[in-house]
Amino acid sequence: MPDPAELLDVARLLAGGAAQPSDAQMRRSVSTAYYAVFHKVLRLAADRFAGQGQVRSASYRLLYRGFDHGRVNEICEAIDKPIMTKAFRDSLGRTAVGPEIRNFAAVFQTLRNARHLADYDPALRLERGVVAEIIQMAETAMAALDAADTEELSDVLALMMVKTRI
Amino acid sequence: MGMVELTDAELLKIGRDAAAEILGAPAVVDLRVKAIVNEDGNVIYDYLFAIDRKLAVNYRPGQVTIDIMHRIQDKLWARGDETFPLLRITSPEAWRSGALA
Repeated sequence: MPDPAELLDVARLLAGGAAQPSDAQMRRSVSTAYYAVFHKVLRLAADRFAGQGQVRSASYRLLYRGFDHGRVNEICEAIDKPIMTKAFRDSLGRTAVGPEIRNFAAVFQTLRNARHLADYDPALRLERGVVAEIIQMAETAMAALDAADTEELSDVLALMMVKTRI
Repeated sequence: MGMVELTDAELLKIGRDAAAEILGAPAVVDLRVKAIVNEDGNVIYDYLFAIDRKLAVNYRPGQVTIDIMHRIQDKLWARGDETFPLLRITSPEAWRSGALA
């Protein structure tokens, strides 16, 4: 199973392993940092809803594979607000999410946009400092998820997974 | 609300003010912003900041981008603009070298 922490280590290695990392290494580093956070979400959700230690079960695999990048981003956009819209307030039973989840939501959107640029923008030039901050953000987001209120995180993960009518 | 037509000067001022409020004005060496289209087909603001960490108040790697981003969003929302701001932060040295786009 992809380990989010190992993926983040790979991102660091790509950006910092060589004296002068190549353009390709920088781009892959940004992309890998994004996937580290995405897999963190998948693992948290599958552990929570299928059960830790159930990696080989069908339900675990289905839940793990059930997430869509666009949907996760859409929910992050909706919850990254001081006061959510009425539809999301009603759906989540709260006016806003806590600072940990909000920080995660902000980082997820940033990383997804940065990954797209890194993967597809031929004019993009990255330097080590920019990439280092992106990796730090990914680490911050993963720590924020670990520190988030358990019930709130479950609600947000469920919303990311299920395309309920909002 | 969606995207409103803010001028480049307004977007630059929003970015500079936001970063200055988080890090202190001396740390904000320069910035640029351009509107780009992301993979979902939405316009986003692509901000690039040159920040002097030595002059920054309480620079926390990883958190600083989040804090500035949220401050920019507050200012954009106050003007009726919900466009997402993508932030990248670099050093004054890298900025001056022109090694960024």
